[in-house]
Amino acid sequence: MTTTPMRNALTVSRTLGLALTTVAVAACSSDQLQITNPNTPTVAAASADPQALQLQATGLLRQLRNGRGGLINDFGRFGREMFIYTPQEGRNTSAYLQGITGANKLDPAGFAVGVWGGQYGNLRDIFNLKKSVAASGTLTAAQKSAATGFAKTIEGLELLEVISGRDTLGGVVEIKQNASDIAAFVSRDSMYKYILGTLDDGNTALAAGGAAFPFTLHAGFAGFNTPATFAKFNRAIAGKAAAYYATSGGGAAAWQRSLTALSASFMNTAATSRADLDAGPFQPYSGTTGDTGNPFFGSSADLFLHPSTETDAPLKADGTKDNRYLAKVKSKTSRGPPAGVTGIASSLGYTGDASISGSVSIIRNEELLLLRAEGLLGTNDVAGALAIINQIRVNSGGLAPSTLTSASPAAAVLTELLLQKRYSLLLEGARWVDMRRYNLLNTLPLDASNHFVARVMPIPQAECLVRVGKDPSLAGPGC
Amino acid sequence: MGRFLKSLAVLAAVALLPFRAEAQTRDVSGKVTQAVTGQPIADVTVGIVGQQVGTRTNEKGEYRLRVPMGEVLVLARQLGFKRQTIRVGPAEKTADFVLERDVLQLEGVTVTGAATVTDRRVAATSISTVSAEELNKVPARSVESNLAGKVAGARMFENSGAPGGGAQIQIRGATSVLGQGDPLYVVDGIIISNASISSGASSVTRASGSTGSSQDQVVNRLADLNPNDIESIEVLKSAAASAIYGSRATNGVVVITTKRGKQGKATWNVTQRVGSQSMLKNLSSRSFADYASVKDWTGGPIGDAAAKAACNPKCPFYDWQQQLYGRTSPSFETLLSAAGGVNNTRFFASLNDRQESGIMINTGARRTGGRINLDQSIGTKLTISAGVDVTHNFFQRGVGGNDNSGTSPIYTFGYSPAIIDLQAIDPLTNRPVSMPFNGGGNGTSNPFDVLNNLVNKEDVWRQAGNVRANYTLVSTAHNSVQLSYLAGIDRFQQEGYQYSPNYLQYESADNFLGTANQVNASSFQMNQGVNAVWTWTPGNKLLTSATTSVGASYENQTLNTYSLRGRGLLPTVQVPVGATDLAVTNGKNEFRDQSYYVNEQLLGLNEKLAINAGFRADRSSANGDRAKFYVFPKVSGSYRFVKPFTDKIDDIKFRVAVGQSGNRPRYGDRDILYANGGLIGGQSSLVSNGTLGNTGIKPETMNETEFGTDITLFGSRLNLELTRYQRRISNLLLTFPLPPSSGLGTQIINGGQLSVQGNEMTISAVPFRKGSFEWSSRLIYNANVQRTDNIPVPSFAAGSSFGSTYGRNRIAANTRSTLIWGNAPLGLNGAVRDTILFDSNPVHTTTFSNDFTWKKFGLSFLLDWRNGGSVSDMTNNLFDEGGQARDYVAAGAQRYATFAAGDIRPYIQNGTYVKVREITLNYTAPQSWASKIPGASSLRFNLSGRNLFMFSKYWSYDPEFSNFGNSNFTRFIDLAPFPSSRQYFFSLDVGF
Repeated sequence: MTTTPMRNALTVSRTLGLALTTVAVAACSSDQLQITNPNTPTVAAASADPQALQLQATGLLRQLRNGRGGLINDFGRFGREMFIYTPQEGRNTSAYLQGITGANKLDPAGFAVGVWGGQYGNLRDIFNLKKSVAASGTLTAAQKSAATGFAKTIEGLELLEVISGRDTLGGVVEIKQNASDIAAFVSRDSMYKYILGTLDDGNTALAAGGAAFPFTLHAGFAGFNTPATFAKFNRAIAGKAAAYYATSGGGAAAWQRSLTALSASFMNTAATSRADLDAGPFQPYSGTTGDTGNPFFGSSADLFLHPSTETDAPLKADGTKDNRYLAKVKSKTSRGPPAGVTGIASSLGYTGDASISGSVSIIRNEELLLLRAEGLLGTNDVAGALAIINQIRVNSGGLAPSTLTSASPAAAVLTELLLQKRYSLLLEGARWVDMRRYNLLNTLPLDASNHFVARVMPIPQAECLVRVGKDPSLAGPGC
Repeated sequence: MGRFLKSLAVLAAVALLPFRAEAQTRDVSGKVTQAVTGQPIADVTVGIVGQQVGTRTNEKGEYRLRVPMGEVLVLARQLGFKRQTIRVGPAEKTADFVLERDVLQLEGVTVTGAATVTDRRVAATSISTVSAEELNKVPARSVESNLAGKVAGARMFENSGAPGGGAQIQIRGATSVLGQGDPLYVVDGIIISNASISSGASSVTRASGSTGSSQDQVVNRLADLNPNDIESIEVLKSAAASAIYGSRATNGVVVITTKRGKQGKATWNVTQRVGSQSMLKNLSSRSFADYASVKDWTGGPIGDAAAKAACNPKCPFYDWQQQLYGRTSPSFETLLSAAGGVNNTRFFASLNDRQESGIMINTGARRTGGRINLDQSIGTKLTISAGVDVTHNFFQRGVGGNDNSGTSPIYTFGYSPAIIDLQAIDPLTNRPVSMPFNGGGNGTSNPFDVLNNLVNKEDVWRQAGNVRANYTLVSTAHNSVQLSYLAGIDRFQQEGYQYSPNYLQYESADNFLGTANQVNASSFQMNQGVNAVWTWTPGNKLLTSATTSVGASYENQTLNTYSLRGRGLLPTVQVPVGATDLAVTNGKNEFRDQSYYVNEQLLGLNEKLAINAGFRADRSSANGDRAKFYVFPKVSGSYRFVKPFTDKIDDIKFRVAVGQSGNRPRYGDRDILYANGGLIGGQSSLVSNGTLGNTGIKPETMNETEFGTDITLFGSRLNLELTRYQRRISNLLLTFPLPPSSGLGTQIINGGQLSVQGNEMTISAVPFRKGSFEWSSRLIYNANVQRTDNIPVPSFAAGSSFGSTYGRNRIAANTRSTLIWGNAPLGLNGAVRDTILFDSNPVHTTTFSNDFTWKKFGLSFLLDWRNGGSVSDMTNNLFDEGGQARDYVAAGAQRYATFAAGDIRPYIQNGTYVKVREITLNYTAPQSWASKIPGASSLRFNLSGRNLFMFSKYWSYDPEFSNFGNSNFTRFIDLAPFPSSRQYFFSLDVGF
């Protein structure tokens, strides 16, 4: 072997050796492995951001909107206001109208287990917001109070949605810091007491909340975006919660509490125009990327109103249908239930599904008036109740005043009141709950022999599974 | 950690020292020829026994090897031939070798580390190697299908019949619930991506999600690999074998080696294939006598009117499936390859173009690519090898699978009486008529219209490259030290596109006319490593050789996906810009991993005892503790009895292997995150993430014990390999269910244990050989039992599924994890409950292959038998629900009534099948024919077919299929798939 290749080999070996060392050292440092997640913020990084409180507050309203869209779709189907006739997915219909075989038709692992996870998801964020507000070193006392009042109002509303779906099954009111700790199930009575207490606390906090929130609310809260005006929204929710409580064991005291709260709310007893009746905060929707479209718009192809909506609609003096019916119901190509599901065809559509950016009311003056009528009827002021019924009949429905008088039996007045509620609050999540509250679920139409009317929604299986084998106090009647 | 650095630094320092070659050397030369024919064999490796290096023969079969003074043992070997060892005395200068063909593939080497191999016959773990010839007998859509039935312990199933690919390989059962379930694929040392990324069909079918889901007949990216470039595939199954890949190895490792140039003058090879395809099975559908019998199945007034018009009085019958899936347009494949080597340079180059026609109208796939592999020796000590590969893969896979928009053809057929001509043209629109049945509105469609006007395509560009430098630092009679550096990249850009014109029947269902969706995924993977291997060959009977290797590697994988969907398009505009409704997704993820390893390989007692031990230490950016190393040890040993008892027994080997490997956490499992809450009223928001991360998350760990025996009998006429394994996978990645009332959904945890116990058997034999006639045969048997031993969470449904109404696997303690759970009236008083009904795991899978050669003819076939394994036949359920099953009156109505009463058992059907996977007939033309082609030296003809026959009682198309694509569990949901097809080819192969 000559010397030249030797020298070349030597050079190569040195170069290679250096390369190996460089690679080894570079690959060796664990700093190389410290990479940040570019897709979503870590809790630690986000909380340090100056926008954190605004983003969290908006998060509460965003989740409130998610929960309400689902509630209306669920309650609407249970209450025989509407169907979701998806040709490829029979369970959108069967889970609500037929249930599963066996004595208990509710399927805890099925489709109709909503109005739970979403609401509690928001409660977790309410819990987090209250905690970070309390710990804040930059907010003033008034700002902290305003933010707390805001959070507690949303909390009361979310829990009211939960209990109006589960009724006697009760629910959970406590959020534990450690998410794997299981909070106790409490009774319906305790739920309502907690809700009303929380709303009252929220109202007190809002009163001490100064002139402005330390964050801005979306346009759906125009007119309710300061602590003082938001308190009127708080009282509206409290009035509704107390009225629900009155028919769920709260009795006369709760009716009184409802009437008091309603009078402190944004209720306008002199309302005559459509605008007056519709006044109240609402959920905005849009087709903007990142936003969500109107929930009826998304399911409009499959959304049909129950045919009884047409046959039961009151008639105006000229024989044409109620203005509310005319405004909310449209005709569309008839469709029957999906293959494999029993039921009846419908050719009624909902006008609320026309636009992706159509907003949906959270609570509005017309409902407050009807709740007040319930309260007056509940406290034996039949004349007062009838006055509101007629106010609604004339101004909302375009109907003649009712022929009922203060001498009419209370049951007849209630029937009339519930009819008005049905058409005034069509697809606003009221009918199924009202029918239950007044023990009238058996009057809802059954379209096929194997249909049933659910009294409550089942507690989701996932909620029950984590409670198996735990202390009995942790399991509710629904598990 | 410091220890590793030091050992590397020492090695590197050693590299800088001037080593002197041993002064006392001599040359041995000779010739290598083939037994019987006496033809010279080029490119045979000739070297000193025990050392990792040697020289190669030229095209005349000649070699020259430098050896130390004194007696040496010289070995000649090449894949496909039995090795030969010659003792060369101190005074001898020549050694000629005569090699015999290795029909049973007992020779060859197996991978034991990043830079080490060992002889197959002494290997201490079960080996599965598939050669190029075996792999490419019959062309297939993707390499998984080429492998089907050829590897003991690995099961391969296609997910649908759509052209271009989409298949799953599962080695020795599922090892993870949430984590990665695919094997790791390594091509020429480079870890490649086998990602399954949806190209966006869900934007139209709305199967799930807005812009893509696993239900979109997704193609896994192994489909980009050209099987014709592959020299061999080795499947590392046991943890002891795969531990060399550390925390990415629980699912096994598929080591692919591509072809390289051989010493000698360049040879050229051109293959032209032309083929066709047809539907393997037509489900047919119900025919109706008259209007009265069809009127209950028209789905509304529009369908009713259509039925009245069609039936006067007898209803016609149209075979819609045959019309839609009866396309027999030709498929083509052109292969061009060249290989050769002169002086110090060897090269291999190939070009290929594969055009597959789908059986469905307007479907197909086309893969076009090229590869160049170069090996360059520089001096006697340095070798540099490099390879590049560029591929373009294009797919039009039509529509199939789950669907919520009325676009999936089988869905539509299941609900519509086949009494009208769907190919009839509507004079108003000049397009196929709209579908009157199943509502007749925007919830359904005419598949002929959809397939003619909907655009759904996937376009992939892939580039891979690798470079390896080998440097022989020391080479003496008893010692050699090799240093190597390896680096490579694998990159692809996948583009998915859908355009659904506004006039299609279903388009108005979501209130937006027209949909355009663009999906883009760009993936980049890189790995590099350094290795040092010291081989000591004392040459005595006690210890033949001791190989010590150390090394380090760094790996990096990034994936960036984004999509843009527009609904409500501007007239004739085919991009989302200007659409009424836009949806955007974007996500990036990245993994970085570092590892070190030490390995010791001993061969002793006259090459009868082999011991291999080592460990690999890994850390990853995916782990909770990024600085912590997780160590994966392994040890294996084997002992051979050579010609024990009688001469009829050639060799019996007993082997035992124990090892550990890992499966790293998924991206983001370690992060405690907020979620983007989305916009409301123009404001953005943050909300709690439903899944809570875990800062302590660590890799899943698999411990596996494997033992077995390999027996060779009757002068290598019969070989028997028996293997039994027991694997336990602990620290499983699981989602701990939080109470929904906590406001969060789940938390990621480590815990629980899965186990798999199985047996594998391979019998290879040459039952008959006389004159030029030879029959060789192989039987491969696999069986395993997969269990969930314990889990720290309540039992839960595993994998994507449609719930208890259609069956799914559940992970429940002390239960077989492959059991199918679903609704049946088996509760108290006949109450419907979700309970164990069947097992999705086959009792066994057995394949039987046979090769016959006679003179210039060759015939092979491969039978694939899957015994048992239940399948959720949702396709049958659709046809029964819609009243269109071919046997609706006789059985379907009853099946559906049972199902409607809450009993899913009629639709969980036995998935047993016997398939004739491959048949091929070869004829090598006489030299005189070949010489008629200018320059040609060989000419071959071939007729072959894939999936020609299936024998099965299964109701629908194919029990192999999976609506959710590749998944660890619940891979048995068959829903309205793209039907399976037979494929036939004629090939002409010319060598120059």
